[in-house]
Amino acid sequence: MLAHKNSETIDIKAVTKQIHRTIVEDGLLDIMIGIALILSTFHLMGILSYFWILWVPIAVVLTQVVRRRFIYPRTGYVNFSLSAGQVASIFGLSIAVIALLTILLALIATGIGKPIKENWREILNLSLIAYTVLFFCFIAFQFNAPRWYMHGILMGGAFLLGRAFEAHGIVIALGIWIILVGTYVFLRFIQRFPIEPTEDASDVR
Amino acid sequence: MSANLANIELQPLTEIEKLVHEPARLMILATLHAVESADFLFVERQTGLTRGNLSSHMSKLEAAGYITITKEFVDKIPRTLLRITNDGRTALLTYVKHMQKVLDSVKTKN
Repeated sequence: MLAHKNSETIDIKAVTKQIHRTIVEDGLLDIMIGIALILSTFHLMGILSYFWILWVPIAVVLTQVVRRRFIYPRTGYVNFSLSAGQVASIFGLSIAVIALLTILLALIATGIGKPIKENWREILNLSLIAYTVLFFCFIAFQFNAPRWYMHGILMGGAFLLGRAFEAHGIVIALGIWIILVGTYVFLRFIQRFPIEPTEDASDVR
Repeated sequence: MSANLANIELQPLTEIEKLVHEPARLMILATLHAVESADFLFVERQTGLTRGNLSSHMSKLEAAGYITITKEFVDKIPRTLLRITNDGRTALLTYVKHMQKVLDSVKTKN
């Protein structure tokens, strides 16, 4: 609930942040990301082909189906459409951050005597891992969802350890952990917000 | 205190729109400003207003052209969809700007 009932003014950014929190509040995104982690690891192990990418549109549809059935009747329907410009900005910013991270890591590699030409693949992988951590921390900050800081940091750690020891099980285990966290959050959410009678009182004037 | 009040910029207060200034309506507009659209239940939960209260304020905002109210059916269940208009956004942001001027003026004098 908004905390500005009797204040003289209102912090629009704080209100926006509080409302955007509803995107991650139900735990569904955690479950979808956990499954994506597991599927991508299977792909890296050669078990799945590039079909795992189909999980992205499936996850989007599945999230909407579950929200329609379980979430909207409890806390109401909300639409957070992004404009084409906003999507382009997010995409552009992501590319810029990855590029900056890659340049930074390339400079560090050169500094420690590792030639870029032979290590560019590793440098790019490390920059993508760093970007993943930053992305999740940004989501955690933007949506006021502290558990996403842990998701980001654990993902970074799991990817690094998985690559270092060629142990894909670490990322799979993390995927399972994130699914469990998401499921717990989802079940708690369902408990916290019981479905109330669906009488539409909006005609009361 | 009267000397302090004389130095505070109160002119913006006269420009504040009472329709937006009412806390319940301010919360409704702030909620809808953050989203593309939302239904009655979502706004009710976010603002903590009672159903009757929310409905009453919605009517006033709709009459002023600050929000649109659309009724639709989803899976045979009625849904009341609310959306802030461009005028509503402008009114909200103008209100915040004017209030901020007054509050900044009070803070600097203190």
